[in-house]
Amino acid sequence: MTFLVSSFYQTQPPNYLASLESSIALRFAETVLLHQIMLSFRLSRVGFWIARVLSRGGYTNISRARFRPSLCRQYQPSLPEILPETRVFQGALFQKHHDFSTSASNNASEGGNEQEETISVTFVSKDGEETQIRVPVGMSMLEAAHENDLELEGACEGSLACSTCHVVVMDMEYYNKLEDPTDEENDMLDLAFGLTETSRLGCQIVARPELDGIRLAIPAATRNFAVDGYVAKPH
Amino acid sequence: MAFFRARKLLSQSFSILSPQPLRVCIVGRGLTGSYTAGLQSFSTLSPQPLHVCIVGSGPAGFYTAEKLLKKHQGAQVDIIDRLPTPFGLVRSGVAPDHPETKNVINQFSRVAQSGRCSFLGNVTVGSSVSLAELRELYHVVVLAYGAESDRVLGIPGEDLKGVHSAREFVWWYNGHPDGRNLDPDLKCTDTAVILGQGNVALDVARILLRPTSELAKTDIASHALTALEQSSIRKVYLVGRRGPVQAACTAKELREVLGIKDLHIHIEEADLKLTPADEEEMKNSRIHKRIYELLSKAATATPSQPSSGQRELHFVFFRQPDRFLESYDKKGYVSGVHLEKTALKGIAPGKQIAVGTGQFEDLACGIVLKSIGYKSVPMEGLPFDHRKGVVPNLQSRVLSDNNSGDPPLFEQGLYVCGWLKRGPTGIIATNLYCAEETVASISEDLEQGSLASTASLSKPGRDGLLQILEDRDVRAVPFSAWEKIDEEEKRLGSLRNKPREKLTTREELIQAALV
Repeated sequence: MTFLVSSFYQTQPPNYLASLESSIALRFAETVLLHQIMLSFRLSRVGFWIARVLSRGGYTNISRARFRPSLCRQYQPSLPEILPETRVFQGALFQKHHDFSTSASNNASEGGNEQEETISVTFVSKDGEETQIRVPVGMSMLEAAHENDLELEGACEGSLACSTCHVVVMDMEYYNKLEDPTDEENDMLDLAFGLTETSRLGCQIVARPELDGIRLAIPAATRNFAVDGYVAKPH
Repeated sequence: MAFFRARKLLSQSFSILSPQPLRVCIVGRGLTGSYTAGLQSFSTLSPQPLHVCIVGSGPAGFYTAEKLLKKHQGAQVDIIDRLPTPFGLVRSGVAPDHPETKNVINQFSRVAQSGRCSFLGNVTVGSSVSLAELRELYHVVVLAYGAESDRVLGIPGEDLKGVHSAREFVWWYNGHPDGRNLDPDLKCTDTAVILGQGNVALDVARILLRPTSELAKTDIASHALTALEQSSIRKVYLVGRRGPVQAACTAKELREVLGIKDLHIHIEEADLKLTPADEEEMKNSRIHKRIYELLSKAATATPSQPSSGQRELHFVFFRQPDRFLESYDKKGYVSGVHLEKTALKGIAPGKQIAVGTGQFEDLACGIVLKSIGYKSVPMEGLPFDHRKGVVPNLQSRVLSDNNSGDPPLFEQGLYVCGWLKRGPTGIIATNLYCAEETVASISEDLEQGSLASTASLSKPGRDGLLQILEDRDVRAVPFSAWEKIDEEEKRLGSLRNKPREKLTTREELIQAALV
């Protein structure tokens, strides 16, 4: 039975848990879930249902909040502690506010109300699979990728101390619209695998209206990765 | 919230030898029994888990765990480490003034906190459990224990007091339990010589030269901070066999050391002269080109003489150490390095090596830090290439000794990742790709290769390991116990305005872990 509870946790979308933000909701859900363990399988399904309803309630509520870029960049180390299992394989570095902002952006694109503006961004995975997402203006591509569960590493969490969020801007036209990389970004790009002339760090590309339609490839790891023998292409 | 916390702790309950701390955490809820019982049944409910043991909890170990767990839903991964603390060189290698680089710990922690992964610190392969035993207990064993020794120069005087490896020095300032007794004498001299010009060399130079008021705000070990505050070192020489175009550092580290407040940088202008071979090398390497540009800019930007009292950093190119000089008045102590001038010789397009010219000079100093490379240590029952200092492998699969036949013979179920596999080079991110290869090889062997048949056999995995550790009275430190260490270190740090005050002995660490 605990197995069921565990799998319940692990299969929930991130939004579900993220939306249990308010402590009241959390406490309530907590009680519900405790009951799940101690009572019957049937009851656990009721708990599941309650939690879902609860999460929806919380979600709608929060989705009205405007997207605040400042919140996005605040890393909240307490959250992974709370929800380790669900977070770990989604690479969700950027915590709960992002889930809210996604919903805000969806509202904006669908409803056309006064919500925050979003742009279209297409990520092309290592296997060539394309995913188009809406990204609120002001959000970095690293954050956007993580919010949408796209596989883009972010070892240093966007603090310009690694090269793991390396992306290739697929059209030169868009690459030229970006501001030039700073020395610090170039220092990191030096170490990126499979560097190209239109390589950038995902954490340094921030959504702006003129970037609407940008396509970003996540470079495949080269088989022969030994740094010793690796020669980056001139930039 | 308490629920989640309790659940997290309990997800590691398998690995807790003394259940005491756990009970304390959740006894208030009165649920100990039901949780524990439930989780035990959880493990029996899953059909034939693939038991994987990873030796070493640095970036190579954690990236391997993350990718394995993601790829194989039925995998149970245990990461063991000889230290009570996880994260390997992220904790004891990355410089204290590079906190951003350590952010990756958050990602690794999420892996360790997942239900299918556990961390067991204070478990040494060799004394706590043998490699042969691990291979019996687990379907797959991945060795990712890095490189905990040093390359040696093999020149006279290397054993003199005051000659240390940079690795030991780094362990010392980073509070590694095996480095705290190094006690380098920083008060006997005003000059330090660092052999090597890679990032480790630059880290060491920066720690020696950076104002201690800045270091005081980092998680540097307090014994190191005290010694650095009392240090009389004013001049640091970074000695490299080759030239500025071949320097092995990265631009970020170089930019940082060049930017230290009130530091005089000295670079011989003649060393910056480029040969056609140098230009060819730079054309093919963006990083070497940028390093060279930074060095030339620094050479022209600084006045030729330091102002009085100013600390100095000297880049010494085209010199190789010939022997270490012993002090006349202090027997057994180093007093300088006898250097031979070198010249570059092209051996392949874009590849030049340093050769001695027969011209020598002395460089006086009171301390030498050799930053010429790390070296992995062998393990009993493990094939090892002593010349290269790595485990012989083919795409991470460990090759058996006496391998002459075709096809090659592999050690079944045994894999390597990280520095032990490819030598001590690269950055944290290199391990991402390294782990990807290791996991790809494991997956391939599971599907169609050597692991296809053994994976269906039931193996004891974690339970078996814990039994062995209990029998031998080894106190394993699970991740929940590391979190207590973490909390205690942060608490101690907050008292001194530091992000963390590292506990630097095994005893202190174990005590904080198992309260």
